[in-house]
Amino acid sequence: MVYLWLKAFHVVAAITWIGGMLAAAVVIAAATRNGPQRQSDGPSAFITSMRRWDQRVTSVAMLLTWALGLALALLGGWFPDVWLIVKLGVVLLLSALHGWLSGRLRRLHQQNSTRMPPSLRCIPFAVILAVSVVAILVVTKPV
Amino acid sequence: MQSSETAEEIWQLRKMRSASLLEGFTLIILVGIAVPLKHFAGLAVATSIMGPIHGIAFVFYFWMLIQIVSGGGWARGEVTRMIVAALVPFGAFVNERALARRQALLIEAV
Repeated sequence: MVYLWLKAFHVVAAITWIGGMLAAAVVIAAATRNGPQRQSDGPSAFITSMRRWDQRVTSVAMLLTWALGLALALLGGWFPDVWLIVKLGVVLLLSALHGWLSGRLRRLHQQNSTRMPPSLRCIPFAVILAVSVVAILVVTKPV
Repeated sequence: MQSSETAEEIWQLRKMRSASLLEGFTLIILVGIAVPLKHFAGLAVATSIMGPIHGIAFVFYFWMLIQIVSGGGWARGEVTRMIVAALVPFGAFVNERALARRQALLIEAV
């Protein structure tokens, strides 16, 4: 029963985290595409709200996802399984990407501009790809 | 740099120092207490508790590091030192001192 409750909250935390990450990635890509605003304009209310959401909700959701996920792996005795190790690697990459997005969001908020190579505009798709890999690994548990 | 930006930077450094200390303490408890308990007293539960706790602290530290570095203003050498020092016991405390110095310089500049 405890396992199922942990699993439910783990899924809620993961959805909140990935949703927040996607929103941040799309906002940064859009801001880069639209070019820098004038410094005197100050950060837009939208960027400020996005940043606040990232700090107060998305980041907390990421930490909860990790904590609940590790608890689930221990309770379920999943630890030596290859699928879980691969999943952990992918989630680690997603966490690193989230850290990078948070930093960029902060820079965007402070400077009203962020230089980003055009190729990095595909980050939202990379997030979806990584989440797909995680979902397939968790559901099918292939190895 | 505007004062609100400096205040934000100082707050980020404070958080980073806490993350560094947390990572350092959990690593020492894991390596210095939990691992010997497992191998010399047969208490495997010690590492199965401390392992994930340190794991979370480690992820949080690196997440904070990536966040603070991608915000800008960090030399490559500083980042490398922050990464390498976090991997060895007591290295996190060296990082914490370096972060405290950076924070003090920022406060002085205000």
